[in-house]
Amino acid sequence: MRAFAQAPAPPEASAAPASGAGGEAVLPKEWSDAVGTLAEKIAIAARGAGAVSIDMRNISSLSSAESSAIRALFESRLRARHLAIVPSSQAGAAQLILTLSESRTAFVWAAEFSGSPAAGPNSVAIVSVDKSPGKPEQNAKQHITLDKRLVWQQPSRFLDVAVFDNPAGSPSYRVVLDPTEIVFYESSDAHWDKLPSTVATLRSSPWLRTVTGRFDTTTNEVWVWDGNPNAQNFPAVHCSGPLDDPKQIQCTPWKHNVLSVVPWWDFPGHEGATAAELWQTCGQGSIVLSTGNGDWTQPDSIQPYIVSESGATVIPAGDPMPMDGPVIYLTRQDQGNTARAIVRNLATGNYEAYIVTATCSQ
Amino acid sequence: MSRRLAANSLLLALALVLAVLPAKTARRPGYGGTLRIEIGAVIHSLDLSVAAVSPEEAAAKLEIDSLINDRSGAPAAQPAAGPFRISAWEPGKRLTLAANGDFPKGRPFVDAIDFTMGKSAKDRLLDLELDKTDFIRIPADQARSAAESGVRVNTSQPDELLAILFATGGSNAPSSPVRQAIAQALDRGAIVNFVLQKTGEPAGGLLPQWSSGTAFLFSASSAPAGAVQQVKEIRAQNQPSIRLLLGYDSGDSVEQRVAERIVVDAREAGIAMTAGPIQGTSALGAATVPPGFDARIIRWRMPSPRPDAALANFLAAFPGLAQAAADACGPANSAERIYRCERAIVDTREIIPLAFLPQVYGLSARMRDWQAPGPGETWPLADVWLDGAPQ
Amino acid sequence: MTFRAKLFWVFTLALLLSVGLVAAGVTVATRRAFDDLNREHSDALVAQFQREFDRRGEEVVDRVKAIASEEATIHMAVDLSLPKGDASVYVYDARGVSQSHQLDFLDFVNSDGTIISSAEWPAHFNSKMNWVIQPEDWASTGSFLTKMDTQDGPTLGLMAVTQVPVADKAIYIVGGERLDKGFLSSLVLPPGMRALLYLNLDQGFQANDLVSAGTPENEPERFTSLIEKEQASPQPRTEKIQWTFDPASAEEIHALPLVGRQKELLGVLLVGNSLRNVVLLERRIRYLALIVAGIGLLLGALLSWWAAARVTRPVTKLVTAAQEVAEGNWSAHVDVRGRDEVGRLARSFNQMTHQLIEQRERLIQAERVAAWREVARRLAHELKNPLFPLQTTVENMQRAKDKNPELFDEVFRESTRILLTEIENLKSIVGRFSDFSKMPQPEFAAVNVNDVVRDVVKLFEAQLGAVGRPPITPELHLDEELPAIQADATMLHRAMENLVLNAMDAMPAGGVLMLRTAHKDGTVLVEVSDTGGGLTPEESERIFTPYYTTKQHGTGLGLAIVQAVVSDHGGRISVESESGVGTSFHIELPSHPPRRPQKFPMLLKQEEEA
Repeated sequence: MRAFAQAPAPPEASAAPASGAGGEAVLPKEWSDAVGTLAEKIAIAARGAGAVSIDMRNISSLSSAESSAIRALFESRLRARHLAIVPSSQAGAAQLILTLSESRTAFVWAAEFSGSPAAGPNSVAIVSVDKSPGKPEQNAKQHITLDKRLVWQQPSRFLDVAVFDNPAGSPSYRVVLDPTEIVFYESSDAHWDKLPSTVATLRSSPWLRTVTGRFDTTTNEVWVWDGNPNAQNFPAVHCSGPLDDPKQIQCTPWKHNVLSVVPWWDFPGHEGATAAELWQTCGQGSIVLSTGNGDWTQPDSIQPYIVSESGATVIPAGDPMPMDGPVIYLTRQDQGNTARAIVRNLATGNYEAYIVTATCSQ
Repeated sequence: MSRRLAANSLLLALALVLAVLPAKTARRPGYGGTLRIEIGAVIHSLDLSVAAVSPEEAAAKLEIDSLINDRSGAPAAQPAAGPFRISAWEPGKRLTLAANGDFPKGRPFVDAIDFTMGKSAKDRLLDLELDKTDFIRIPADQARSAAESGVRVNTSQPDELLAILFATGGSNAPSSPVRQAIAQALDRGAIVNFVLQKTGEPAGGLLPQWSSGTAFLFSASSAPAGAVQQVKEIRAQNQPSIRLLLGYDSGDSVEQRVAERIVVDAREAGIAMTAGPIQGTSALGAATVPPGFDARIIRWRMPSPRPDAALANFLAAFPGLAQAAADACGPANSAERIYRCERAIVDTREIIPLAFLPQVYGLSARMRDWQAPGPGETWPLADVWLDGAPQ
Repeated sequence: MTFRAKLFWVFTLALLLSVGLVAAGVTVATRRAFDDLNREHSDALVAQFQREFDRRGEEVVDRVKAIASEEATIHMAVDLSLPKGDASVYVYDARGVSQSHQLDFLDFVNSDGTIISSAEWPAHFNSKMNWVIQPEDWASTGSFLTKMDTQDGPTLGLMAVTQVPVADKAIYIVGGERLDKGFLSSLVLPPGMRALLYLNLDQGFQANDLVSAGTPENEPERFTSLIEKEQASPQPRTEKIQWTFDPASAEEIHALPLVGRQKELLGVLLVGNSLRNVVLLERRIRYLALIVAGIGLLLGALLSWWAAARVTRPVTKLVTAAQEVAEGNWSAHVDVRGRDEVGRLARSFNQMTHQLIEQRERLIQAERVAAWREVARRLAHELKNPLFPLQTTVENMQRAKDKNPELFDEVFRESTRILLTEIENLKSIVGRFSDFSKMPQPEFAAVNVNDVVRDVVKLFEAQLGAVGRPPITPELHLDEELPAIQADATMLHRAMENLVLNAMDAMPAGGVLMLRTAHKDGTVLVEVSDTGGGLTPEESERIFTPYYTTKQHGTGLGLAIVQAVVSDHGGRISVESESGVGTSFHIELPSHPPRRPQKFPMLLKQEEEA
């Protein structure tokens, strides 16, 4: 088992394409391979044409930088196969339509080709690459104080995630707290591989639907308990041990006191909202992040507040940051101006974990 | 700055106002309550081996079965007990399920689910608006009007293909040029925008974009001028009049309206088409065009979000089409192979895709944590909880 | 036919003709009266229908305008005038609105002619209804007929169009009622009248396009000619159609053309007026008339018969008397006392018969005298011949006695011989006269004339072929199916003998004697022909006169006897002769003899004396 490298600050490591020297996106290897395959197919179909004109359209969630990078790579591969790239208006060239599409789980890039002697009436070449779970979302369009970064997503429900990002070249890790076990993942390229060792926390319980839990990476502790305020006699679990060594993690039953674990904030008008007080202050008060007033069937938002030291005044500070679904868990990170939020994405059905960063601008 | 202060003041005022109001909305899951569900099907036997009378009944039986049985184990094994068990059963009328506290994945939130059967779509909507029920299915063409009238509408991703399936093999079966003309005459945009009230999306291929990523390669636009020209050419070849009968499920108002619209498009191209109901489509099977009909409207729901699995299921469900496209449809393990198989099937023109439909649900105000199931999934009613229900 | 029967038929026919003319006149007048009444009725109903039609059109206009002024409609118009207006929201609105406003057709049409929502054909959204956006002042157009496309095919509608303008755009409300069975049923028609509607949607006559309010027409093709006439030239027409052989099934059909805005023929309203009552009434009147006429004719016939009988009775008496006179009873008297022409005729008749009797008696007397004179003449003539030699012989005897007594014995012997011969001659002459006068009354019995003829031929067979004289060949042409007649066979035999003898005498050089019998209508015909020298016309006239003869010998009574026999049998005899060819005697004998002929009183007396 490789030791996790404890980064002093959460890096921006992810499976997203890195920026090149000129600011253009650098494509992951898998993407580059796919583009190459596509170009190969097109080159065979365009045999005898000598020149192609390319019209590209992006109907996926790829950014303009990414789509430009894909196109540039595609053209270079075609040129390598002795095909000239010419404008669309040039007569005699083979017409090519390159479409960047996507499905739920993969990017799909298709080239519709016609006009070459070797091409059929609707000659199409298609390649696909699986999407990585760590693909970052675009930044929110508004200039708000809050920022979010997707650090984990999976179809089934999880309670918390511990993020261990390392610089490029070293694998990153995710430790995911599922309702009944702790699961470990290691990154390789754009994939996350599940490590075989897991740690069981709760045995089967009828109250699993309201189970909640959290990591404390500074103390290497894990708590799992029933989030239902009316729960009684629920066998909660407390685990402790180095998170980079699953075998050493020990879990024992624990009688919890809800209020002692996580400070609740009740905001006027937001009864029942989930809140997290960040370590960082802003001005004269603490930054507190709170979920919105919707229910779990509607997309939620995270609203920053500044709360006075005494807690008497609670002032919204900044625009709420919309999320793709209800925020079912919000807790501050162990240090700094970040919090962890787990959101149920209503569109995809996935559970997603974000690192929310609150930047205070005065 | 002053604007921000004003906004904040407004928010504060709002917060203060809301603070006065009793906190009725609990936003955290709670146990208890009876979930009331109304369905249109009338089920006389919950046994899956007993054939259903209608596709609606077949689907409802599967959903109910997923609540009382856990079939996630080995397919051949006896199913384990599901999250609910039957507590009262009046065949054809009412079914009550009680929460199974011993379910290994956790007791459901609600104490019970009460199914009322045989309710028409109109009655279901009315009951939902009058708060007499918590959960209903809404026909795709009524989703928009339901939402506009204040109903909480939840829509899945479009995972059901609505298409025209032609009869083949007989001497009177519509010829390929005729099918081509109909395909060109169809106005899918009108069908989706008007008949389906913008619920769903036009379909040119068999799989939706979100599943295959290649749906954009299949044209869903209409070419009425081309259709008229095609019909003229057909007539010039000693077929003076083209008369077709298009069938639809007699119990499906969506299919009926779609069929009637297709008749309009066909007539404008010069094809004398009429639409007629088909009785007992469930017994007939989705892939069969009954005798006397030249084509029928079919619905095929994806069993899986994965395009390869979905396509394999399609080929199994429509062996005739699989046979027609056998050369292009082998083991589909890449996007391109999936596309080629789809293309081969669509190019036979024995099936003309019309639209992808989502599953549309109506939810009561108190129903929480509902997530529309994806293809192959059943209603996750074990995860649903009722806001305000006694704990 | 008797005079009475003729008179009866004349009276009856006159009566029949009069009654017939009166009945025909009454029928024609009645029919005309009914026709006029019927026409007035139909015209009133057609006018009523027209008013109803117009009223319905006004109602349609009002309803369409009401829809146009509804808030929901205005809201839709405003919404669709916006760049992002979404017509799909309203796609099914028309149906509910049409039902609430009781319209069969309702279309919301956008400013570009696109159908937003269609009540009668919900799936027809997004199609074009370009005629609506043609330049037209819909506000003043009112209601009109037009062809409407529906799911089940084209049909006719009574329509109205209203605009809902918003800014520089507008939506059009097109509403109307379907002209169909329901529309026809809603028309209030009196009993015996019905309405049909022909939808002129296709070329020629199509039976399926004929709509009736009740059950479908059994024989729609009966309207073909009327509809085709309307299609050629639309104008109100009336035709009569008889549905079965029974005239009471006739129906008067008024055709009213229904035209569209461009005056094209869209349909034909057929208002049928059953003529059943009229026909039945006419029929009843006719039957009554016939019955009355029949009774009248019967009475008239009876009266005619009685009148004819009364009128003809004296005539009949006259006729009877005339017949008696014709049969010989000249003393027939007509007992008619009237003062009219018939009476005068009767009296004249009686007078005439009386005069005839007198004249006949005078004639008879004259004939008798003539006959006596003739007989005397013939006697004198016949007797003179033998008397002269008698006289000469006696004178010779006297002379001889006086002058030559020696020769007296010889002279006496010779003279006595001559005297005896001439006395025999005289006796023969007297005998024939006696025979003629003693001809008995015939005794009738059934006789086959063929047998008589054969007997006569057999009798003369030897003489016909006698040696020393040229042969006479008998030829018999006898009708073997000759019926028996009532006759005296002996007298017939004698008559035939005389004829055969005459014929033999007429053929001294031989020849052919032909005897023929035939029958016709119960009358037996006998012909005796020879091939002798024939008779001249003068001889033919006198041939039957007693004592007339062309022969050197003979008394000339033979043919008179034949004639008398024939006359006694009620028959006739005629002669036909051509000089140089021959002579034929034709005898006609009736099957039954007449009444006993009147005989000359002289002969009767002679019979009595004999």
